[in-house]
Amino acid sequence: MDDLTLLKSFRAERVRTDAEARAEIRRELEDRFDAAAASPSPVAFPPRGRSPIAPRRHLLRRRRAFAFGGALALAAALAGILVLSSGPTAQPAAAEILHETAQIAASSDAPTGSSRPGPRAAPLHEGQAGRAAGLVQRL
Amino acid sequence: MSEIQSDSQAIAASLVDPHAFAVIFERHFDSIHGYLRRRFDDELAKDLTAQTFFVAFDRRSRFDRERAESLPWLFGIATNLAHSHRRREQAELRAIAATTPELGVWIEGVESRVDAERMRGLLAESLAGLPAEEADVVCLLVWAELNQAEIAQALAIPLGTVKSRLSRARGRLQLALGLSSERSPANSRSAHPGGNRWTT
Repeated sequence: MDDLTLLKSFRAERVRTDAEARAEIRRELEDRFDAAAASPSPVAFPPRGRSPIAPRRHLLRRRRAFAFGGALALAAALAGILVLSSGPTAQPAAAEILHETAQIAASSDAPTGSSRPGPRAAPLHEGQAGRAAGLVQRL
Repeated sequence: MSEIQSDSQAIAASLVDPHAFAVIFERHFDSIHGYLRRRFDDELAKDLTAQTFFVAFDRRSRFDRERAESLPWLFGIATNLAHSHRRREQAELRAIAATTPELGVWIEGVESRVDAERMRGLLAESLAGLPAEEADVVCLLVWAELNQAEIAQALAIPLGTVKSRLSRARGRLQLALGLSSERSPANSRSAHPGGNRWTT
């Protein structure tokens, strides 16, 4: 006697018709038949190889991709604005103001005598003073 | 419904009229339930039988209608469902092994049924010790009476995998049962008149 013959007789007594289990399962199956008959065919018979929830997942994935792309574009636009509006564009403006201030100072009259050492500021005309104040404010 | 000849035709008809699937249930309930009762207790066997037919009904549109018989397909579903209850199956087998009388009850010269009874405990213990994949193949071969090609189809695995799993499982069983590991095809066939099932 070999292993498979032994195995064939193992628990063989458990194989018997169980009418009660058959009837119970049949009833549950009949309910499923009724439900399937009542439901529209696309739900009852989904296309081969794709689960019923697959289209929803696909839409969700697409939506996420769009949201990510949008966020990325917005971040890039903000970064661009910040880069363009800072540093290189501000420096020429400051330099320009300083240059104008220096021109105003150079075009003023000779300096008045002063005993104090260091740079001496020339008195400005009224118009020049007002313009210089405006430039300083811009700085 | 009486015009329906094959399982394949019944399943095709059930795509239009779901009630046509009842033919499949009536034809194969006993086979599936019997197979699962050999592996599990009554309650779980009934649950798994119900689930097998529910799953089969829900997936009937995927059934390969080139195949006339649906039984290997149903056994495949049942075995895949059973796979997740392997621990429970092992516990039950070990309980059988623990309650089986010692080898001292062996009566010489009596038919093979007594031989099987004597070996029952050892066999239960050996089956419990098999890896789940190997146990599935052995159970489908012996209890579901599928041939190796049908097992490959049922479990959706290559035929070579079925052969190697079966070979390993039989080696383990024979070792555990203290049987000779030498198997001649002639012996196997003589033991199983229906026989090419063990080899092909």
